Amino acid sequence: MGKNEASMNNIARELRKEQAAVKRKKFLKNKMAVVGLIITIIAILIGILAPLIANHDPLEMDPINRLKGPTGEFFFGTDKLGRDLFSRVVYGTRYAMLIGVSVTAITAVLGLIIGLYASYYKVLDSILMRICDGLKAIPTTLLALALMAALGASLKNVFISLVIVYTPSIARLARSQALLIKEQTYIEAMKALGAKPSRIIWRHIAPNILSPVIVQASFIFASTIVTEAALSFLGAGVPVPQPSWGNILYDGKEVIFNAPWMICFPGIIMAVTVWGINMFGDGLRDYLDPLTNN
Amino acid sequence: MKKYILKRLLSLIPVLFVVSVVVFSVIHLTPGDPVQMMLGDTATPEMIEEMREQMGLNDPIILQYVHWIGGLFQGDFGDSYFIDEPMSQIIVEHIGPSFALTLYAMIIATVIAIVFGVLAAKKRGSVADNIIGTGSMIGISLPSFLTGLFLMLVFSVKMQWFPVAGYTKPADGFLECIRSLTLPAIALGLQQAAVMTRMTRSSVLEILNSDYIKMAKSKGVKESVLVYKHALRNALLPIITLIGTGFTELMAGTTVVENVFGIPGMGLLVVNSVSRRDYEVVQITVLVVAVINVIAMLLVDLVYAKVDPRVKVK
Repeated sequence: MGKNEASMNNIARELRKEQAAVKRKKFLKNKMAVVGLIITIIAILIGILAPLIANHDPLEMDPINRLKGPTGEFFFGTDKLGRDLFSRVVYGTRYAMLIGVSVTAITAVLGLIIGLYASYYKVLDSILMRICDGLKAIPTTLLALALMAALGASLKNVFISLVIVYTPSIARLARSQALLIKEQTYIEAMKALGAKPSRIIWRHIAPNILSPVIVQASFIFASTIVTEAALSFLGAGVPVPQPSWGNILYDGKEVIFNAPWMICFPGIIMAVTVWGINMFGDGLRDYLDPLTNN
Repeated sequence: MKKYILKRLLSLIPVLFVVSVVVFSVIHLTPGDPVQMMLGDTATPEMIEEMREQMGLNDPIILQYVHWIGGLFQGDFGDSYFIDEPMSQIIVEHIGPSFALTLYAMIIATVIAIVFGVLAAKKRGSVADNIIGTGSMIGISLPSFLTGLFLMLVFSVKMQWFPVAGYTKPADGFLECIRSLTLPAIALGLQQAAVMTRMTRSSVLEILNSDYIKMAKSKGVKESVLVYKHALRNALLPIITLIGTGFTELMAGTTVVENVFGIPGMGLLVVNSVSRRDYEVVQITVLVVAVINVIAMLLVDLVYAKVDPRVKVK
């Protein structure tokens, strides 16, 4: 019996390996997804290595070199205070990635927990889901803006607002997926065997809803970056003088007649990054969750 | 149908309750004293105390909430500290441009989506289909304020076809009004257009592959009649829902776009009110937008239930 079980386990492991290899091949064949992944990795690396990449202090003002076009020294030109735009964009990427990654991770975990418990306990469900519905009824940017107004502009508060804004969408998804799994016979069997709810939730439901949650999280990553930029553009995000894509673009708008590079460079970099993350998310969906595709 | 409508209406109550609590908290969770912030550093402690009493901020928080909600039901929306007008008038003045912008963007998005979505479905796998597919993926990734800035750079600064910013009221010339809203509407609508194009393509494709279309084809019905009369009409159902949810998305997007182009709508109002700490205006504006949002979603559900009776059974 023991020996048989071991060989069965081996076969199962082999099968899983094979499946993973097939999926990986499929993902790598999806060129757009690979490009997206590369862009995402590069953006994160730029964020981590910002102090090494930037060739100026992003806050250092240089009144003589105000609103200079791109040159060998100032790759992207300078802004109206003579700060190096390239270094500011690099540090802006750092903030975007920092907020994007941390908000996505916390949102995914929090949303997963809320969704799982809501799906299992009816009373909790009606309370939590009404709260989620209420939060989702307020448009993202507006809710984030109102929260920032209440909490005050700081990096920590940008993080808190965005977590509050995006957790409901993950929680909703996790709940609906968990409800489907909950109806399956094997869960009923677990219950009949007397398994504790926490065991059923974490060992038997959670692993089965992980894929759609991860896919959703990848799209939230992109949305977070956009919303953070929008908040900073509106003056309620990363506090100045710290550079963020949003407040660089706002500064750019002020001098749109004299210094178009201030919109072009950060704008294109932001667009490419968000596009890359979205493409990666699309590929990830095909890879992890082929059934919900389209 | 009546029962369904009633059920959906009742389900709005908890949602609106949560919305009101969140909005109410904006003033009351503010760290520090909102009154101090509003009155500035020159205010004396007596002034602050008087203001607090006047605003009812010394009452227990639950009581304050009840007062506020009670006031709303009686048409008392509070007062702005900055704009010397009744709150209802402030809202009415600012909601017009937002609605005009949303509607204009919606029309742009719908036209683009139907034209390109149908084209992509008709020529599936062709170069045109691929270009439309890539284009819509780029469109989805472009946040409206970025599109707005790029459009402004090209069409206002370089070409000078459109004003850089500002808004002309319809009363001061309809065409000028349209002109002042064109770039903002494109900026706002493009992302939605991209989403809707993808949807239109896939739903037209699904119907083109169905048996009755194959039947019609084998009978010798012309391709154009097939696509526009048989397929598009049936594909319109999901598109209608998308227009509804798209409306709420666009309404949300106006917040940023209005600030890019300086259009005096709800979005500009809320951002200005945040920066001048006019919290009562922030509260009411967010509340109004959320209520419009909830009503729009309700209407979508009802229209959908009307068109597709299967929805009600669930």
